[in-house]
Order: sequence, then structure tokens, then C-alpha cells
Amino acid sequence: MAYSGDVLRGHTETIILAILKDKDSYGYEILKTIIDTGGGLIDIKDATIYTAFKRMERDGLIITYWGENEGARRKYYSITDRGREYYETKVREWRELNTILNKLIGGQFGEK
Amino acid sequence: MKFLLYPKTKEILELREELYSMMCDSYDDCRKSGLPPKECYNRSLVIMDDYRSAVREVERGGTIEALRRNTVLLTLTYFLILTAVFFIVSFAVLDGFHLSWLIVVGGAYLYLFVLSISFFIYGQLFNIRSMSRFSLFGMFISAVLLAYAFPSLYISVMGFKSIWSFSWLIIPVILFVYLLLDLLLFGRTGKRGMFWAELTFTSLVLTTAVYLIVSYFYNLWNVAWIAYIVLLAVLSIVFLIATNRKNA
Repeated sequence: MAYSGDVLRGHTETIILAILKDKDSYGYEILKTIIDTGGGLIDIKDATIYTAFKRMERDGLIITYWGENEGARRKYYSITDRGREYYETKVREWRELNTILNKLIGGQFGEK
Repeated sequence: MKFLLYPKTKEILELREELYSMMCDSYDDCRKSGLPPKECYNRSLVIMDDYRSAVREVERGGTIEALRRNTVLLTLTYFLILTAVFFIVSFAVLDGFHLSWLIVVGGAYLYLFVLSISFFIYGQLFNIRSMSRFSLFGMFISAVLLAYAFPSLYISVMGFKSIWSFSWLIIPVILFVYLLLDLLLFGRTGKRGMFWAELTFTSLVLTTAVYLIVSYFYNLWNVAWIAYIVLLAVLSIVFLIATNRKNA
């Protein structure tokens, strides 16, 4: 069973920033990383990725530049300092939420 | 081709280039995995599947600005040409203004129609449902003016036999076409009950158009009402088939 992009809603930006924090990348490579890492269970649309890029660029989380690789002209995305801060915050939030959800969904009620 | 009708704004051009580059990457990647070119080509096309939502996302502000710019340009160009035609015909052909005002009236009706089409195309391109639907209604109103009001007025003014007494029969036909288009383009995304209500109403308008036209031209007022019985039967059959398919 493949999950649609909906399951990533609210996390798309964080996932993209996680990919970009180590090296600059381009649209297809980012998309492929998400799909491959998802083990074939994540079906995310290219337009979803592109709209996320635009939002992130508007919010100053990433910057873009055109570059060439193996003869192909591509738009590269690079994380900004603000993007790194945002990423750290989101990862912290995710860890806290993950702990709570594990307890709630796992039925560990009343435990601190 | 998908981007042919879009305004050539910076955002649209960038999006097109980005999606195209992703398509090329997808194709190359697929070829490296050993799949045949045709299969890879088809797979790379999937990139464009959801391009409309991407267009809408990047163009929110620009769309309205481009629409405003194009509308002003269209209006200016159109009315400049219309004014030129009006004066040329008045002075060079008719030698006066006694009939040439018809050019202005017909031209204004045509302008409304063209403007509605232009708004409709924008609504469709940028997935703005309310704009598409509203401009379709505008097309209906201007079609009534163009197909009913103007020809009747023209024939009266020119001194031919008046057609006002029966030319209104075209209105139910135009109304039917409008309702049918509205149903086909926007009905399926609505609620199921609403779809059937619209379908019933649309077919009722068609039946009324047929009833009025047939009765008027063939003087069959006492028999033509059977069209409504036929409509009821056809609708019932369609509804039964649809219900059976849904339950199957």
C-alpha cells in the first residue's frame, strides 16, 4: 500500500530541509530521495514538491541558483541559516510529538 | 503545449523550466535502469500530472495582475478598433449616423462575449472555479444578447419583417446549452443530489425549448406537451440505470 503525499502534509518542508542540510540539491534528486527513502510507500507529486520549494523560498528557508551537471541545466536549492534554525526547531517539535503519539497510540496512558 | 495559453510571467516561465528539467532527469534516470524509451517517456510525463496546482501556487498574485493587464489591453484595443470601424462606416459607407449605432451595440455585445471567454479561460487555466463558473454565466447572458436581441433589433431597424414575436425561442436553447456546459464542467465535482437536480433542470429546459419551437412553428400546442412525458420516462430510466450500477 502506497501512502499519498497527504501523510507528509505539514512535514514536507522539514523533509526537504533535512535533505538540503548536508548538500545542495535539485528538484528531481530531492523527489527521488524522498521516494527511495520511503521504500516505495510514499507517493508524492512533483507539483507538491515544487509548491513547497516556492513557499520555502518565499519564507527565506532556502535560496535557489541555476547550475549545470552532466550537461543538464538545473535549478539548485540551498538551505539558509534561517532554514537551519527552522529545521532544528521542527525536529525538536517532531521528537516531542513522536514521544507523545507513541504513548497515545501505543496505549501507554498515564505514563510520564 | 500545456503552458501555451498561460501568461508569460517570470514565475510561469521558471515553473515550466523546472518541471521540464525534472522530466528530463526522470527520463534519464529511467533509461539508466534499462527500461525502453517509450516507457520512460510515458513515466516522465507523469511529472506534469498536477502542474495546475503548481501554477496556481506560484501565480497567486501574478494571475490577477496579468488578468487585469490583459483585460485593460483587450478593452482598449477592442474599443479603439470599434470606434474606427464606426466612423469609417458612418462617413464612408452610410453617409451618416442613422444606422451605424448598430455597430456600437453589436460590438458592445460581442465585447461582453469575448471578455467572458477570456475570463473563463483564465479561470480554467488557474483552477479558479468561481471565476470559470461566473464567466460561463457571462457567456450565456452575452450569447442571449448576441443571438436574440441584436438580430431582432437589426432586422427591425433595417425595416425587414419583425422577428421579435418568435426570436425569443432561441433563449431556451441557449439556456439549455449553458446549463449543459455548467453541468458537464462543474456538476460532477458537486454533491450527488445536486448533480441530479441540475440534470433534471437542464433536461427540463431542453424539453421546454423543443416544446415551444415545435408548437410555434408547426402549431402543435395541443400535442407537443407529450415531450414532457417522454422526458419523465427518459429521466426515470437513466436514474434507474445509474442506481443499479451504483448498487452492483
